[in-house]
Amino acid sequence: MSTGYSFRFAFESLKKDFWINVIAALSAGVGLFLVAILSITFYSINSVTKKLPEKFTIILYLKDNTPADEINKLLTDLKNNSMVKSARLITKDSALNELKKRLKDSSFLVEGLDENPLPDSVEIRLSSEAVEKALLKDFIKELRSISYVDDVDYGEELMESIVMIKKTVETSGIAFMAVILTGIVFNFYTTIKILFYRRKEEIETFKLLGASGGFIRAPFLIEGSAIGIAGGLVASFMLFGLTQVFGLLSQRLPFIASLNIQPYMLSFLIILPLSGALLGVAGAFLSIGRIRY
Amino acid sequence: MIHFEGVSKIYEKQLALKEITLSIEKGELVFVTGPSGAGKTTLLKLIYAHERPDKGRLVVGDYDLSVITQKEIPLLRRMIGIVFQDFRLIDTKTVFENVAMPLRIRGLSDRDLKDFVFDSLRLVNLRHKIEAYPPTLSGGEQQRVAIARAIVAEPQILLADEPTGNLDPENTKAIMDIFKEINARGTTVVIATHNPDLYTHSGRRVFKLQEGSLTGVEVL
Ligand SMILES: Nc1ncnc2c1ncn2[C@@H]1O[C@H](COP(=O)(O)OP(=O)(O)OP(=O)(O)O)[C@@H](O)[C@H]1O
Ligand SMILES: [Mg+2]
Repeated sequence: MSTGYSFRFAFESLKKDFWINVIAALSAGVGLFLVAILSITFYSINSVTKKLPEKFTIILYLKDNTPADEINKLLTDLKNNSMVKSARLITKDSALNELKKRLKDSSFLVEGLDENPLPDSVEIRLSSEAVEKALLKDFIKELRSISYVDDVDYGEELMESIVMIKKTVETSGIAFMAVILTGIVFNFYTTIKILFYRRKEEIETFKLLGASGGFIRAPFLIEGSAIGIAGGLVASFMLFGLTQVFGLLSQRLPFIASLNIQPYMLSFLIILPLSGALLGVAGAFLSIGRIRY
Repeated sequence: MIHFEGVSKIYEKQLALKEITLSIEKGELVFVTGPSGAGKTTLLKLIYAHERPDKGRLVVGDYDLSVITQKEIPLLRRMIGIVFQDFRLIDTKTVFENVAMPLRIRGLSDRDLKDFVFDSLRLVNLRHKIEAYPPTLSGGEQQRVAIARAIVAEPQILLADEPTGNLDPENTKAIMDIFKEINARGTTVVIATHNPDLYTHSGRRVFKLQEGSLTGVEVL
């Protein structure tokens, strides 16, 4: 097939129906921008919540008079557990000291005690992979079942609500993205449909002259991808503006800097035109359908 | 080359062709004639698979048109050059581009197709109109562009539907000479016309249609 001709045909058509194409590219651009924003939001939520378990500390309160070798065995077991980042024994004495330090001026509250009322405890920090809620639950259950563990303390409610929020945002976000992406494909579909119908008679003639399906389709697939790339570039352009804003914000707000989403955002500058092209071709393909003779 | 065996074509309720049986041999030049509405155009449309037979068997070259697949139809059409009764020129493309179309469809590049297009346009005496657009041409000129396009790819079969309808006697003779020359080079030519001047004293077979039926074949 003469590719040169298909390209010329496509660009002629792009020029001829210039405004239809511009509008199609702009609306696809806005859609793609929204998808990028959503995706970046997920990424940020993910990178924030990924670090959460590290910040969670599980405290095991041990029963009085737990033998030292049991404690040591427990500590080694914990350290061998992949979910555990660190496990540290806090003896009742050091716990009391800690408490005294914290109470400072009010330390008279504990001063008069003849016996240390605090138990020995083990402080467990989790590694990031343990974010899986079910896994964490099992782990807690396991810890509880140890005979000399008196009680287990961890930020259960906080953890659960964070996981739930994350799930809700993710599900609704994915649904929203799917709607937008479908909308973008539909946008290309109708645009190419219009362009196709405008040339219907010409195409009928091509068919009668022996044109193959590929010959007829090619210019429209090229058009679809061109509009898609243009839309992607529009989205990239908007996103680039946003990265600049983020760059400025990061300098002032360490939290935003800590998210480290700039490289992720920048990768979208390439992903957007590519996915635009892909969606454009998909829309064009659906729009033309089968070539019947 | 072209074989009709009891072929009928019905448009909704209108019976356009009734049990047509005829054969056109490779290298022949024949005429199809008959009054308006007799079914001449329909007969040609069946040959290039624009319409499918409702009954009977139709074979064109190696293709049996009652079982031809969608993929084969473009291949069938590439062995056929067609002068459509209504020309079917593309108004938004120049004369050059119109004539070049069959070659582009066959995958020829700009460089390779140029000479064919020029030769073809020279043959119909329109070399000077290369940059013109069809709507700016006279009816006769448009018809000649259509003819140039039909012959540019040197088809095995040439179907011409009322190809001289808009031409003066001088151009009519010139066009008939072109058809004869193309035929002499081996192309099978089928001309549908109700102009007796074309076929009387031609020494060619003439198929006569009347209300969809083949009423006679004569050498005139
Ligand atoms: N697409 C169609 N739908 C319905 N009826 C049609 C169609 N095409 C042709 N016909 C009918 O079929 C019959 C044959 O038409 P056809 O065009 O083959 O005649 P023709 O011999 O070419 O006439 P003319 O000399 O006027 O071109 C006519 O009665 C016409 O009305
Ligand atoms: Mg006719």
